[in-house]
Amino acid sequence: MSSPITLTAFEDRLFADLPEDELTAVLRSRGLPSRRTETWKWSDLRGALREAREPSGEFRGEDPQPILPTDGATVLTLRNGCPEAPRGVEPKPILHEGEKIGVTYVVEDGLVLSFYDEGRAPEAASPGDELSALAASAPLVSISVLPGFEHKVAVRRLSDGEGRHVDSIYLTVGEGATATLLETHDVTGSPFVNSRTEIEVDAGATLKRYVAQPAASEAVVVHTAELRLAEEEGERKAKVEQSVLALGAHLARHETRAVQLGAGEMQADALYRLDNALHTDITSHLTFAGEGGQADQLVKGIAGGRSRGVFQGKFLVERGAQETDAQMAHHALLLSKGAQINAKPELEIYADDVECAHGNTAGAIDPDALFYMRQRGVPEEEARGLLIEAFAAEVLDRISDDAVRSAFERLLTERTL
Amino acid sequence: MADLQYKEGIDAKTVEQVEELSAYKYGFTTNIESLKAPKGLTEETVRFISAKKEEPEWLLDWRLAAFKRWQEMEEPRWANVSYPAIDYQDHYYYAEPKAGAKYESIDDVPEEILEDFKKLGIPLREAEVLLGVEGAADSAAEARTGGDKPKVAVDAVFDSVSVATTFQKELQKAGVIFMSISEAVREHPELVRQYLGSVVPVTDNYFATLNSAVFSDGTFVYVPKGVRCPMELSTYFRINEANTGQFERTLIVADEGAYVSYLEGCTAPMRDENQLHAAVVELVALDDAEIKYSTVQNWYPGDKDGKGGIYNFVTKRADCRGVRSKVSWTQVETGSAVTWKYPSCILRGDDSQGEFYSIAITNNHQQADTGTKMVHLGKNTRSRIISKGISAGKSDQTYRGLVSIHGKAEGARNFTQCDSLLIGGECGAHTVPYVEDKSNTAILEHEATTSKLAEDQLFYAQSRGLDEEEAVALLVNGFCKEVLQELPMEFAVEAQKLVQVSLEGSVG
Repeated sequence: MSSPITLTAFEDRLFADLPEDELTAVLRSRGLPSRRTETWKWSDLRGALREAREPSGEFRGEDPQPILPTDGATVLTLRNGCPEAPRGVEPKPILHEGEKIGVTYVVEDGLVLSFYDEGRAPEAASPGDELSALAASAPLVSISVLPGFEHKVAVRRLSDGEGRHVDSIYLTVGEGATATLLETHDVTGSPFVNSRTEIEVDAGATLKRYVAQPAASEAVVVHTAELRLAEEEGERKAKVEQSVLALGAHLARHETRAVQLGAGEMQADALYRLDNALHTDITSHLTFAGEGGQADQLVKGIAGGRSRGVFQGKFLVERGAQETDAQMAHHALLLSKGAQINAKPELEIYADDVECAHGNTAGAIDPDALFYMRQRGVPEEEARGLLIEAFAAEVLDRISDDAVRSAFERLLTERTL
Repeated sequence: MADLQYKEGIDAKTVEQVEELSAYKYGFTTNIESLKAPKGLTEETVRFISAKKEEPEWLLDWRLAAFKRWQEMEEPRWANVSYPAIDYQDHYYYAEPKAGAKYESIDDVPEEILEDFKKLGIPLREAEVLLGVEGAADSAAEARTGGDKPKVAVDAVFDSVSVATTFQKELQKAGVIFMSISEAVREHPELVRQYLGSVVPVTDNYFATLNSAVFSDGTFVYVPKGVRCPMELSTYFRINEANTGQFERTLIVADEGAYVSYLEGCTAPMRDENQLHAAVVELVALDDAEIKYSTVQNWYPGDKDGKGGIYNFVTKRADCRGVRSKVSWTQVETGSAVTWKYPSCILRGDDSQGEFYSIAITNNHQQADTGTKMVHLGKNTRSRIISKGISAGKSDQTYRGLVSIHGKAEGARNFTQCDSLLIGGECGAHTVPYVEDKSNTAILEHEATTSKLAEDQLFYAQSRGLDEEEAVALLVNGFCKEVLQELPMEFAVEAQKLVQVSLEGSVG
């Protein structure tokens, strides 16, 4: 094997805080994911985090206005990774073998929030998956939407300073339940935020998950979501609609890893809009483990300035996962010289009766369309704006929650102002 | 194959074709005594090969530098293939028929070897088409010029040596140099020295470096300015010896405005042990030049249980150096136990073009990880990739491709399409395309399903009265031809047989 690497100051400092376990040993030998790691080749995390960082201190700023509308939602706020307990509800201790390991709150009928004192013991991770394993060691907040109920939960992650922090959320959507999960990253300063969201969606349950991350030019934001869609029960399927709006960071990565155990349905969309020297990486890995899984993915990106957009999509259809129907599309617009787009739409298929497809395009604004609009009297800048808006609209139109769609639209407009 | 369960709806003809493929026709061994380099790979082996070839000092130094470098390198493991570790010391790196490696005339070539090539359908002994033996071939060759059968000049490589090159005289008249690379080193050292390793540098990758150290034979082609090569050129590679690796090196240079079409075929006997084939092919196209490179690769794929077969680790790259130059790769890959091959184009010259047409068929336990790289450096460069993969049995196949558009490649264009078909539930088909775009004036398109691509055509065909299946069949047929027609006639028939499969159940 290759010779051992020289750790960066960041790694030295980070590893000193970690327990001496298998994951730490592995990280010491290969370092954080870098451009030499296949799944991070266009997002050099190691290069972006060289200087030593202390764990983040207290969140100092005022709470900003919510990025996504929280009307009717139960709000869970995490400030620099620290979750805030709900107010006005009596906590009950969670006991394990007679010992208290956390507290639980019944927030509303059918909605339970549990705060654990500790996270999961980290496990060794394969190359590229270490970040999620690291985040899993953060004290866990579990959100349960009990079978048959309908709830909306907003997870607001507020981060500032120049330290580093992790957080870990675990959501279960019980049989026949409907959950809307709004996740936002409100980042000021230059922290390194490493978030993890683990989700179980039972048969007949529906999850709508929307993630918004406004631009944070100095920060490093990594967010990994791991979803499991249960096997169907008769006609009752696990369904997920997901849409991510990412407006970039010094380095940002929004990764989705989903497993469909049977005939589930998943929409895994994303839209990124970048300027200046911002970076965004949309990575997804969808596994079809049972028969009849369905997925539909539309990812679009717009890159201006010297920004860098990354899309890595993978569908893995396991042996026996017949009748899988999965479509992946990624389309990117490059607005300026110096912007770049890197894409890897990947298929790995071990079943013969499936319908899988991927499409990928990259290019400039269509000069014919631009010419047409100008000759109809629309000034060039305005015409460009309209064409970009139309390009992005395709992703936004697929969002079924009207309030979220409007908020996404507003976020896009505000950033252009 | 017989016990394999086929999915309903897979055309019977398809099944038949695939089953036919599982029987390897070229698995015979030719009994001929051979002289081999001592087993294993050391600096001595490199010196031995170089001495055998009577090479000049610079080439020996070049090989030794490569060997030194190779010892420090690690075998790549990123491809989606798995095979037991190769013991590089357990191979022979040089084998030549004992009767000698150089033949003054075709009559000196041992009858066994000629028989061998005859069995493969390679016309070395086709009386009048023989190599320039004392000028005897001249008139015969001329006599054929008026015939309707297109002529093909052949360079036949048997283990580590080129045994015969046909039509040399006629090609010389046109100024085309077509000979084994060993000969070229002796006769045109300045050309070889100028271009060798200029496309695939010695340090390029593990197998290319290994090849640079121990390459045995291969073909050298130089087409001078403004010359359209009067016939198809062809090399036929044959591994005969057991435990022997073949490391051929091919170098083709098309000078300004030149055109050449080159064909390559490969077979090997059936053996239980795995054999190594690590070739390097370099193409250089100068201003307005065009090279068409076609391969029908049918190395022994191993038996039904995956025993034996060739490890085919090949580096093929074209450098479109000149403006408006064009290189077109066409490959039909049916053989080898493990394939690792990415014929690529560096589109350096403005307005240069690269094309890659591929049909890959894997069966039983074959594994193929193949594709292409199109690196756009110049303005208005264009590339087109069409890849069709068919997996059967317990085989695994991966299309791996890179399209890279550099910042200065204004107005670059790429179109990529890859389709895969799985036959039976125990195989795998994978697509791993990498796209890197740094130009805001480039247009890149990647598509991957036939149905999606042809929706409007399907609709049209159906509106003209065809039912859906007929319409699909019609379009699939048309698509197949699109790839096959890129092959020169000589290969088209063989290739067509290999790909007469329906695309039903296709995935992208």
